[in-house]
Amino acid sequence: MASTTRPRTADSLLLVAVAATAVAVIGALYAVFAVAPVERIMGVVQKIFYFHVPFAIFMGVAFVVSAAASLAWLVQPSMRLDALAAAAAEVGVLCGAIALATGPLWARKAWGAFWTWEPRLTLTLLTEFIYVAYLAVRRLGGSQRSARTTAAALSIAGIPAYYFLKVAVYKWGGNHPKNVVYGKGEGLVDPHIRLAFFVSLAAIGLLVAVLVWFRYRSRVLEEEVEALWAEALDHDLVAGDSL
Amino acid sequence: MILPVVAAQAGAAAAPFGTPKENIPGAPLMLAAYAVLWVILLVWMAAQARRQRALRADIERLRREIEAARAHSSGEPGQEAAHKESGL
Repeated sequence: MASTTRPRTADSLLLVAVAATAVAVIGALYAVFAVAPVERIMGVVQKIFYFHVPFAIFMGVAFVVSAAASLAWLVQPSMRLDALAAAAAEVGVLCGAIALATGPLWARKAWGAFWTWEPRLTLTLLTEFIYVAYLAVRRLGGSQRSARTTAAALSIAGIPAYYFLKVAVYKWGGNHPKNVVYGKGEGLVDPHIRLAFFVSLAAIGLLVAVLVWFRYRSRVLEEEVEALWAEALDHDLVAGDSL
Repeated sequence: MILPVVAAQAGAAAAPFGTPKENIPGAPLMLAAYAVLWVILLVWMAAQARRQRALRADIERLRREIEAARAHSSGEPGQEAAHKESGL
């Protein structure tokens, strides 16, 4: 039976992906703490960079995936696109929360303050709020089509905010470092720091993909519960205490 | 094990990771960042796992009850007991 075999295959694949992610994350921690040296100027607090930057990068990737899936859903509605848009937005918000929580801890040493209302930080917070609003609209609107359409529009509207946060440091300056990875005359000069960063980037990429997949499956299960509820209503089962 | 070396960052025109403004110890800040990261991730994953378990339980229960209701409406004698058992 396809309906029972496919979820089992998906479960097995998810387990393999989770195991691979666990290995990658352990590898990344090893690279960060045992391979990459303590940075000359910032000291040990620079090690925040190996997770802060990848989570900030994948926050953007997740928001772009959510917006693209939302746009595709508006053109041709399908449960899978809707579930992907919701899953990517939620994981994007999670990545944004991590980036916004870890960045200020580095900033405390670098700037002497946890937070300043400089362009990139402010726009990151604004973008995060747009997708939090997206999740709120989805949660409050339930499965109503109008709520999903509003949420899809919000997801797409978040992309210009994300674009401005990307260009903010170049257009309007501010305290935030520019391109730490490939900046001219800056960037990752030390090969061990570079290696640790890219191992970390790969591990977090894998982790984010698994989290989106995991959340996508929850969304599919939610749809299944809603369909079963509708069927139960057809059978007049709602009057019973058990439902 | 943390290697007792310090990155030379030779040739770097500017400090890519910033320059400390105050003499604040970095280790507590780094530990706090890693703790926050793992707490956020683990809480989210635990909530998701719990939600999925609840959803799967709902699906199983609804399926069972719908099957029992179907059997009841079609009047199959063998199924009526199951329907009664489900409390519907």
